[in-house]
Amino acid sequence: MSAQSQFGVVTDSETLRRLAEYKGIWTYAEVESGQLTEVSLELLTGARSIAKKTGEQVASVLVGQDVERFVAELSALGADKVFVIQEPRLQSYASDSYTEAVAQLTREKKPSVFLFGANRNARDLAARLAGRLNTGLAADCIKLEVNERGQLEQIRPDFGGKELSVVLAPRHRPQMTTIRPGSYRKQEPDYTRVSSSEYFVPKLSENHCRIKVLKNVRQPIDPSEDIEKATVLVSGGMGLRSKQNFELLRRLAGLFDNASVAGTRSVCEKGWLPSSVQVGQSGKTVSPKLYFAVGLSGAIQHLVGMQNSEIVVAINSDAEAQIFKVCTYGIVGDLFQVVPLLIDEIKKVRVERKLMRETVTVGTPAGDP
Amino acid sequence: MVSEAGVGPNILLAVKQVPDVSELRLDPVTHSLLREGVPSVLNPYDRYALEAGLRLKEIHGGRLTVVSMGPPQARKALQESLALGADEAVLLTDRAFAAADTWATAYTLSVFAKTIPFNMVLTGLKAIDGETSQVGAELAEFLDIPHASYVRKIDLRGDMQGVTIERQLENGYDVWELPLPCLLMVAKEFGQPRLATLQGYIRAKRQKIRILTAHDLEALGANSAYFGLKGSPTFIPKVSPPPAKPPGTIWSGDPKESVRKLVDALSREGFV
Amino acid sequence: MSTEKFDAIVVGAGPAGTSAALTMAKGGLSVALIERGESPGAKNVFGGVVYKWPLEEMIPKFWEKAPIERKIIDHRMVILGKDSGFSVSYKDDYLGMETRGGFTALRSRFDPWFAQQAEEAGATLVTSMPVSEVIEEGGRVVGIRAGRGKENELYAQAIVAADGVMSTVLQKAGIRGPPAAEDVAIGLKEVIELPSDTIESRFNLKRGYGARLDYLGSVARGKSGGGFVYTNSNTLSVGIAVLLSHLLELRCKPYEILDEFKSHPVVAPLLEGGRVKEYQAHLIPEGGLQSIPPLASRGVLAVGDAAMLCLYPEGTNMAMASGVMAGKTILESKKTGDFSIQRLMLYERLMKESYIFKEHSRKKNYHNVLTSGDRFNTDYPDAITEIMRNILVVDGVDRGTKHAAARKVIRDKVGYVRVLRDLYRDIWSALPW
Ligand SMILES: Cc1cc2nc3c(=O)[nH]c(=O)nc-3n(C[C@H](O)[C@H](O)[C@H](O)COP(=O)(O)OP(=O)(O)OC[C@H]3O[C@@H](n4cnc5c(N)ncnc54)[C@H](O)[C@@H]3O)c2cc1C
Ligand SMILES: Cc1cc2nc3c(=O)[nH]c(=O)nc-3n(C[C@H](O)[C@H](O)[C@H](O)COP(=O)(O)OP(=O)(O)OC[C@H]3O[C@@H](n4cnc5c(N)ncnc54)[C@H](O)[C@@H]3O)c2cc1C
Ligand SMILES: Nc1ncnc2c1ncn2[C@@H]1O[C@H](COP(=O)(O)O)[C@@H](O)[C@H]1O
Repeated sequence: MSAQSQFGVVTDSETLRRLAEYKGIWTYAEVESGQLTEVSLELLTGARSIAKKTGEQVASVLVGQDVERFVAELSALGADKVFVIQEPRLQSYASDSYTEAVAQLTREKKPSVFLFGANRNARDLAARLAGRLNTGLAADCIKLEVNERGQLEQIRPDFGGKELSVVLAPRHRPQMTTIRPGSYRKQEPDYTRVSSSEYFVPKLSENHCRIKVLKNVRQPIDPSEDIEKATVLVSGGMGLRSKQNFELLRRLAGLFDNASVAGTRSVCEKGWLPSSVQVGQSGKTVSPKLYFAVGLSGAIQHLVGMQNSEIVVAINSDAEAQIFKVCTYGIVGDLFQVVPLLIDEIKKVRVERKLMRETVTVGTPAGDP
Repeated sequence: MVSEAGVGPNILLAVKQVPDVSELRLDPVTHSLLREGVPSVLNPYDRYALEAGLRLKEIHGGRLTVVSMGPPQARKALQESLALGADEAVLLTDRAFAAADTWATAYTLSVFAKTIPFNMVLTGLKAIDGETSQVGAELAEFLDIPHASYVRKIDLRGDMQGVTIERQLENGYDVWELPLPCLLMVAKEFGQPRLATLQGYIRAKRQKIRILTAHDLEALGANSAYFGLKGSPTFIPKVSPPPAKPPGTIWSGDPKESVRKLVDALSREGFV
Repeated sequence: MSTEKFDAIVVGAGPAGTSAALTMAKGGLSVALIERGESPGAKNVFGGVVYKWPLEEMIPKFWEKAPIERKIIDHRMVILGKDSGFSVSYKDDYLGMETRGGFTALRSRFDPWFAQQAEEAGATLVTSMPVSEVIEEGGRVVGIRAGRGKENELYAQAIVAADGVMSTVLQKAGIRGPPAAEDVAIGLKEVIELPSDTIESRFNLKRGYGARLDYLGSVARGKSGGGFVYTNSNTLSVGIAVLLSHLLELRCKPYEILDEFKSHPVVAPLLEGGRVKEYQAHLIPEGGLQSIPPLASRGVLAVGDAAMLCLYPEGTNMAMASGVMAGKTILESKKTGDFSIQRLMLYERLMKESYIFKEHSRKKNYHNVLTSGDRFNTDYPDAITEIMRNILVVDGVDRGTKHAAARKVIRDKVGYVRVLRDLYRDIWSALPW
């Protein structure tokens, strides 16, 4: 361990001088389906938190065609500078042309940190770029820190979240990271922020554009199936016993804003739910604010997909079920009894609360705000 | 052999041996990961890449070579690949390769790849231990060939000049055409991978696995400064258990009473 | 793809199957050894003691290379009362030489090592392959299936069923059914981690040497059961075995009984400060002689637990010995080119003359001891501990009076005649010594 920590200390002056040439915290501003991706905006929050510690500037890199219209949004959310790479050949993402364009800019400007959202295309670009720049890349991080030596500590969950690792790249620049969506909260936009933009024209040859993009097919995701974005998820397992019974969960979900119904692999395999709403190792990773785990046992493959939820409510008839080990609140009982009671109770409390408020308002002397 | 190699594509496939994540347990006291005695398996995602390779072979013929970098036990992953139908297996194994990050892993694999003829390289989308999805793209970079990730469909042209693929994205898919040789990172949407058969295992047991050490790779032109921990741009100075969650509040007994308490709690959290 | 035929298929790479495969491979036969686990021993469970015989016959001087935890030089037999214990022990360095007194091992290490010996001798080991069916032709079993399709079939001249107590092969071949609840015990075991020097000082042992403690009496709420504490390098194997039919009567979760055993005042101090690393459960054949199925039937040779050959706490030795004999039988058939069902019956003859059958006959009343219940599990232990407590307390009452009281205890609790009969017929035969 101590030998390992030693490994991160750079003392050789030649290397230190080389590392010192790299300045600036960069984010990749990914454009997808005509808009900036959510995580690209969240990245700016992470970038600012590092910049505050290192005293560097935050810059974003926009790649594509007609992307300059996003500059204002990026600066409002925290970018001090925006690099714009616009080119007809960069119309839509291709791993070879994008890598080369961004690599040219990076080589010229030498940022010390370069952050990417852990979306599919951005991850793909980051990996190839790290290869081209001969630098390290930490995948799927959830948190960034700066240590006493000014190095970027990239914190990532390993083995499906069973362990947290700190990743360092002591001798290589830029320090590259992909950040899992939802790790940082987007800042309130401030459209009075001042920033500058700079246009960069990459020199792309035929050899840099070997991939032909034939088609981009985009289907808007059915919001009810977009479980990665939901604030509240009501997730069901084999305990539900039939496809029809999921109606019960839909009723519970219906009580919350931005809520969806999800499930375990077993129920998706049965065809009780579409496979797009499967949570877990071979399904999706979700991190809603509230996760109801109803009639599901909490197999490790399921847990790895939902353990980052803020509040987990477990309802299961088996007091020994694994899900109770990770829940915030749990009810041991028959879901067919508990869930209907829960729905009624929530409704009742809401009605009462509304009634209370109304009575209070009625009772307040006029003239008060 | 020559005729086999001549007709269809020569496919190189990188596979990894990983700990069976579903068998990993946490120490109840220290909350650190108990790695001891955890069985190792062929990375589940690599099964989709193998499936892709095997289907291409069924259509076009050709030869499928699997390579893995890892400890001697990684033979098992290679044996499994042979049992599924790969023609040849190569293990890059040496203490010098230990603790390689994705960059150093891709470098090491690329040294071997450059010594054999190939039209296509396949990898899994990610390895379930590190889950980085980086080795594929980095390997392609070292080989200076184009790559595509999240590949769910592969149409190889009969003349071995190009391939049309579909990439599964969050909200749709892309169709790309790549010249050969290229590297494809295969996604699980490709299709259900087959299971190895008893006869397959028995045939695999009789096949020899070629072993290459750091020394052998140096003889092939590798720079040993890029191997393993020493050659890795990134390293992990510390690992900690995830912040322990306080034990939950669990109610049993009268469901009415339990539900009331739950709704109270959810109200306090601002959900009701 | 042509389906090749092996001389023999061995199903199950436990001690029995590996012994058979090793014996045959050394004799030059082509052998497939098929195991359902990720690796041999991955999911196997036993208490922890392996014996020198007959392992040495297969691998001379195995103790120089096998993954041995500790060599046993101290045997202790403890009769547990409610909260006391009466023990007899024998300690002898001689037992440690060449592992004469047996050695402790962990299946996850021992089984792969042992199977590797068979592989090195030329057997083809296939893991992660559960055999699900047998293939029959003309009234005999000619092959096995491990999944659907021709590619999952395998044929051989002879089949060895070494797939443990639930033997799929024997059940599918119709040679026996699932074991009856009176004929199997459930074995529960925990591996408890302790520093090796703690183990050595706690059990009074030299480095590398070990003790085995076997418990009788009040182990399982008055039901028949045995307990054990065996020393490994830096772990203890702690467990109990309770007859399944008795466990069903108790209507409790099996681990509750194990917990009770672990917290018995005589046992608990040995485990103090240890951390549970593993929890395992497995069935143990306990049916004795009458539960043994036809050993050579329809081209299938049954070995080890599959053949119900186990006299707790001896099992691995019988598994190995039967495996060797099955192997030798098939070698004989190969030599003469005669794999007929008749010829394979040689195995049954070899077995009937062996240590295994002699021991099973000697202990034929052991099963009575197990099933007859209370007398052995509560009455005797209670009587013995009551007498000992009474005699050992110096309180001014003379020994003559105390001995008279002791006789009364025996008379009241069980009766003299009964004691004599039990002693002669059952207990004596039930002792492992
Ligand atoms: C490689 C691999 C990948 C996998 N990936 C995933 C994955 O991505 N996602 C996933 O979910 N699983 C995955 N699995 C499967 C996983 O191991 C479990 O099998 C699965 O999660 C179990 O689903 P379940 O909880 O719905 O069913 P069960 O385990 O059968 O649990 C049903 C639960 O319902 C409870 N119950 C029954 N009736 C009632 C009632 N009336 N009231 C209240 N409770 C009741 C029971 O007590 C029980 O706990 C994977 C497995 C493997 C091997
Ligand atoms: C708690 C406990 C304590 C014990 N203590 C001792 C002790 O201290 N000393 C001792 O000598 N004995 C002990 N025994 C008994 C001993 O474990 C067994 O008698 C011995 O393991 C039998 O060996 P075997 O090879 O016949 O069966 P097993 O060891 O059960 O091996 C059977 C093998 O077959 C495989 N298999 C099963 N089904 C299939 C299938 N369908 N296809 C392919 N493979 C299959 C299994 O995975 C396994 O590897 C104990 C048993 C228990 C449960
Ligand atoms: N050590 C390795 N040896 C061979 N292939 C590897 C190795 N590590 C990763 N790969 C390949 O790269 C893919 C992605 O792995 P990763 O980037 O580690 O998530 C895997 O599915 C494998 O195909």
